[in-house]
Amino acid sequence: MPTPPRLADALLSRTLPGGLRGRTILGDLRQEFDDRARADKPVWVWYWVLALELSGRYTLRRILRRDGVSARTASPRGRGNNSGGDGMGQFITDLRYGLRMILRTPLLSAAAILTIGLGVGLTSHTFSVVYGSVIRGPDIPAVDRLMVINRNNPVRNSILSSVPYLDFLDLQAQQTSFEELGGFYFTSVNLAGEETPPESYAGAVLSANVLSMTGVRPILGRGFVPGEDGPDADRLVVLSHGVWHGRFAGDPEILGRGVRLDGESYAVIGVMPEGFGFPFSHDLWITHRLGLNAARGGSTLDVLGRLREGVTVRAASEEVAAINDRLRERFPETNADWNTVVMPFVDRFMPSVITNILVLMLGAVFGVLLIASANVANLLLARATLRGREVAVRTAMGASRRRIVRQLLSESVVLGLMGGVLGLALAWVGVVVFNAALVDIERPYWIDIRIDAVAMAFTFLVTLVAAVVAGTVPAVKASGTGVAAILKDESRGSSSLRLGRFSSSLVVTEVAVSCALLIMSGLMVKGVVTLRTMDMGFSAENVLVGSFVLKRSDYPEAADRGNIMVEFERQLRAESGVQAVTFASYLPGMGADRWAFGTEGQTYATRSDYPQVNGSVITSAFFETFEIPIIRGRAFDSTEDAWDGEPLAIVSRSLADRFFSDRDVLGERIKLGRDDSPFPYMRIVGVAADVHTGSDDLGGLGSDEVSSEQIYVNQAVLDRIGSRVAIRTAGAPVALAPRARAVLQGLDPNLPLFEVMSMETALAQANWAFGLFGSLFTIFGIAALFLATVGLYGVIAFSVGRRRREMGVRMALGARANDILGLVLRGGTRQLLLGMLLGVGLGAALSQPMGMLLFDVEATDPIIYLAIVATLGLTGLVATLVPALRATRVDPNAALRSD
Amino acid sequence: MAPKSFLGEFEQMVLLSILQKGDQAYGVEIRRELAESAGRTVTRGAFYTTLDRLESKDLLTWTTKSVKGWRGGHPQRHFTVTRKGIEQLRRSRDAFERLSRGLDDVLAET
Repeated sequence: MPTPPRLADALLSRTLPGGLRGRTILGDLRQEFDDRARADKPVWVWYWVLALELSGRYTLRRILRRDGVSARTASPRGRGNNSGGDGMGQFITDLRYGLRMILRTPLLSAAAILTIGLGVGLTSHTFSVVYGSVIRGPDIPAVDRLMVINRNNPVRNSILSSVPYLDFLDLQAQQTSFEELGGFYFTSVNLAGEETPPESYAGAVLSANVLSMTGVRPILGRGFVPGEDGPDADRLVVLSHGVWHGRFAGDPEILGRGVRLDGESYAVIGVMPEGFGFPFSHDLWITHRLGLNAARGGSTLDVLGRLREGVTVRAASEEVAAINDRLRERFPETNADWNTVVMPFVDRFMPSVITNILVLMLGAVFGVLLIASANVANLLLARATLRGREVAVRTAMGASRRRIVRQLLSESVVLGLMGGVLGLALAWVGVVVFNAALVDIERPYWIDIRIDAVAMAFTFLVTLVAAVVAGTVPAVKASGTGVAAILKDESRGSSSLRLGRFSSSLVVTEVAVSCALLIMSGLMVKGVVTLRTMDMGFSAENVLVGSFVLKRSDYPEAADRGNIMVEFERQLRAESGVQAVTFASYLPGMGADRWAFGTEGQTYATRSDYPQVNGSVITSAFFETFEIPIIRGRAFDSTEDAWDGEPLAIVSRSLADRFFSDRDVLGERIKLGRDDSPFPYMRIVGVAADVHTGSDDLGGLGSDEVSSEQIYVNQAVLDRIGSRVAIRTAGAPVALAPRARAVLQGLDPNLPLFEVMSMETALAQANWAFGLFGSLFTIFGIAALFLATVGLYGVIAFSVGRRRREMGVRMALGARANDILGLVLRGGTRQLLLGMLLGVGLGAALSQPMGMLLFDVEATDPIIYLAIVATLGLTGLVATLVPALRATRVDPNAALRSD
Repeated sequence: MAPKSFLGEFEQMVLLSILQKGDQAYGVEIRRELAESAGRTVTRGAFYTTLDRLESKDLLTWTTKSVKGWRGGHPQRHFTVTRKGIEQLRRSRDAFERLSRGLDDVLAET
């Protein structure tokens, strides 16, 4: 026969009325429990619900003093009211006491609640960000066993490249470490409807087993089954929840419906759950059409695999590397210099640098919480010393030290809980703002930042810890002094030295932590300012940009692609307000290709001797559109955008200076790739001014390190399927957006123009990381400064207040106002200077790992350090001066008479 | 002299259930009587606090009865309605009857 859960019974024992009354209720519950168990009804959850209901009701009645039963109505056979309900009763009493104390000193309590609220709010918000971004991870069963296999090539400077299809088949056949392998690659898909214009979506092209490998089932229909990939497979598509709702209005009859993807007819077979966007941020899934006739070294995919039980990542990596070695030996022309990389799926798409930054942020915000707790501790210390007499009297009347500590601690717990509620509200606002700032940023689909049960539990825990930490030392110290000492001290009004040292060390800590945080935020702010104000070498004003993708299936020949782009440009130019139109593979300031190149007539001993520079494929109006000066030679002529012109190139000034310093670069011929590359030699016809290349990765992080050595190649030489268009306009660029879309649509109804925005917006989006993290660290820094200043002021002010009598004696003995001022200032500035010294060291140490977050700023930038020290010093000095000046206004007679 | 207050509906039901159960007027049995006869299921919290309230108004008393090998060894409470409680019930019944006079047609089941 089962018995009721002991924990539930323990809860009931502590909360039900004492004596026989409570026991008989327990007995009734047990009787019903046994009856249910005999009848084979579920009992555990039922009992817990009852226990919580009864406990809650009786606890509430006690708090509201609606017991309705006083001691006299206890059963004659009872042992009194207190056994069994003692602990809970005292706890309620302590809470009530804490609440009364708080209401007695409203200003001090409000300060404490605000301080805790700020600290807890920032901490909870940051935790929500870190938890939602890094810790929670995708909702995939055993996601830590899901791996991605990529390749890298140090000679080609290629880091995470896909695996050729035939290599993938070899891996599939030879590996034993994974339950199965699947492949995927990304593409943008133009989804067209009968009456609706086409839209571009992020599509994932998969082997048939990939969706099932995630373990996530569709909410409608099904995923793919084995055999539904390959060149002869039916054209089937699985939609994301977002596309199903947004594009098809959540049509319940969507299954089996035909849709046009890139001009081809597909049947919808399934819809995935809301929030699912595997592998990154994808809207729909189709299967690949690769077959055995794919060339070795040709079509590539990222490989996905689930580790077998008991197989480690390391063992799997070694096996895959061994297979790769064999392939390298068999196919040296295509596989030379390629190595394999096996990494967890989450790490593949969530760069570790972002994870590290988020963890750094969490550390920073704990610093703010520490300062907040220290402030509250000082506030409570101050209040505790004011109640020294009360504590002494209660001790004399028999209250144990434990009881007094508990009562004092209960105040800080109540303060903490109130501050925690405020903090939760602040965190919620912070999350809303944060999500709004990220709304246009592409990120992994599983990143979901919100205040959920975990965040709330974290908030509660942090609040409790902060309150206990803040309250324990003041409570212990206040209760631990001898009665006689306090009473004597009270009457003489001597300096409260016994609490002064602890209080001082708290302030020093506060100043040190806030100094460090301010240094970190100062460095980041400088970087953001530099990024926003620097001369990038091109003009981003009055430029509209957009993207489009010419599918090989629709435009199989290079000439077809060239023709539509020429016509697109011609029609755009004809629009009113358009001054210049260009196409480019990369827009300036937003990254570039990396190309190896060789100069005609030069020999290179090994493959790694070929220099690597940035590259971009452009059309002739590129330099005009972005107002990039051509400093030597000329830009491309518009006629050279056609397909049969002589291959030409333009290089940047820094490239010319570095590689052609000893001769005239104009007329030199260079070739992309190495000696075996199929590309033709190109004649250099112009030298362009350097531009800031930037990065299209990681929100711009690390983009300050990217060099400005660049080759510009005409579209005629190296055509691109995906292209960006940039249009210089006379007026506001966004006004032209509808016309630009309409022009392209008029040329091809299946071809959407997407990501249409001003160049300034595009640049801001590309560098979102600096803006976002810069803002966050600035908020931490300002919060820390505010809290530390308030803390310093509070401690000095309180100390001055306690030493009024001493000031009075000094003045009566001949001390002047300046002497008093100096006395107080010396004490305060000592703490300030010590704190800043420690803070500078701490800041320097913590800024080192921040390198990527700092745009063109050294972690030890002396100007920032000096500025922060000056700011903090000035603020701290003012915080010390105000109470110091008050001390000089003490009336010696009044002070001496006071008690 | 007129009573200062009348019993609430649930309070009346609890007292009547105690009277109905007589010797078997223990906590669990009273709740079952309420559920079966009056179709009234109520949370245990409301039930026990109503018993406490009736006790504080001196409308019922209780005594304990020890048990062995049952209910985890916890005793039972046997409830009895006091004279005051019976008087209150009588007043409530009389008031109900006076107010219902002549309304048989209206109150009859259709």
